[in-house]
Amino acid sequence: MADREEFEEAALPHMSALYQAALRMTRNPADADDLVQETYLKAYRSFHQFEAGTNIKAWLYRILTNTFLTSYRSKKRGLEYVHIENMEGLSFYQDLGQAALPASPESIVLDRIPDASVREALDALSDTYRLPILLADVEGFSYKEIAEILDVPIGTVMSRLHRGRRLLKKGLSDFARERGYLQGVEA
Amino acid sequence: MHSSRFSSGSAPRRDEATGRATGKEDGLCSEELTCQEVISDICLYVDGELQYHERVEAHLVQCHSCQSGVVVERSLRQRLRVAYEMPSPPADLIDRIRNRLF
Repeated sequence: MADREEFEEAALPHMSALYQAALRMTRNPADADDLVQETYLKAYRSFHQFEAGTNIKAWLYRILTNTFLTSYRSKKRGLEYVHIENMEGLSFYQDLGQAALPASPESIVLDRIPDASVREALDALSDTYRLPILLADVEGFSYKEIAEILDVPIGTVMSRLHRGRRLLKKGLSDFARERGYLQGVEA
Repeated sequence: MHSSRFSSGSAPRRDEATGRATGKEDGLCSEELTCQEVISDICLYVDGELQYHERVEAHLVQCHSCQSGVVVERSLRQRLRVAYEMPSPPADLIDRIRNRLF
């Protein structure tokens, strides 16, 4: 069994961050609560495998993410909701990104989209794309850390982030277009 | 990562669409990046993962279009951070975890 004091000192300070990450993944406080408890049980049992001095936060996130993927995500999360192949030329980001603009209307439009709708756009993506984006953009992990957490090569992290962000932008631009936020922005 | 893109000996190309290729007066690099090259690596740059970021910066100083792209990418990340701010865990969660562990 792991050394209790060492584990408490190293692992428990990350509890709050892990809970918030769990909440983002599960979108449900009861599931997030259970997921964090299960993560700590697994981490404590395998603490002897943790190499002291290495990145314990990434190690804990790896256990959290694995546990989420195997036990908590709903079956429908495995589906691809967005038609990836039909994206070309549809995004106002892509359209406007080609023009020399005095300001960034995309950023202004982005600010108009409510938080719940931003979350809805990202949560509509499969976990293949959603998790790397959460880990990079919200949690602030490096590509190398994300590769460790998801146990995939760094090139896979990069390609999933690239494609996932394109999907996200398309979802956001569709939302903005439906709501009329693009009036006066799109030529 | 992607270093080969920045170390080739090929001649610099000018982006015909934007005409924004940089001059050499800044002295920061011997080879200028085109808008296309900057756009293709913009996520790496904004994520702080691009090894040769100073070459992108030399381009951005003179290219409003690519600057705009960087602003959009940064805005998206900032927007996500705000949208995904979550409440603190229940006050008793740490004790419940301790009780289960020890």
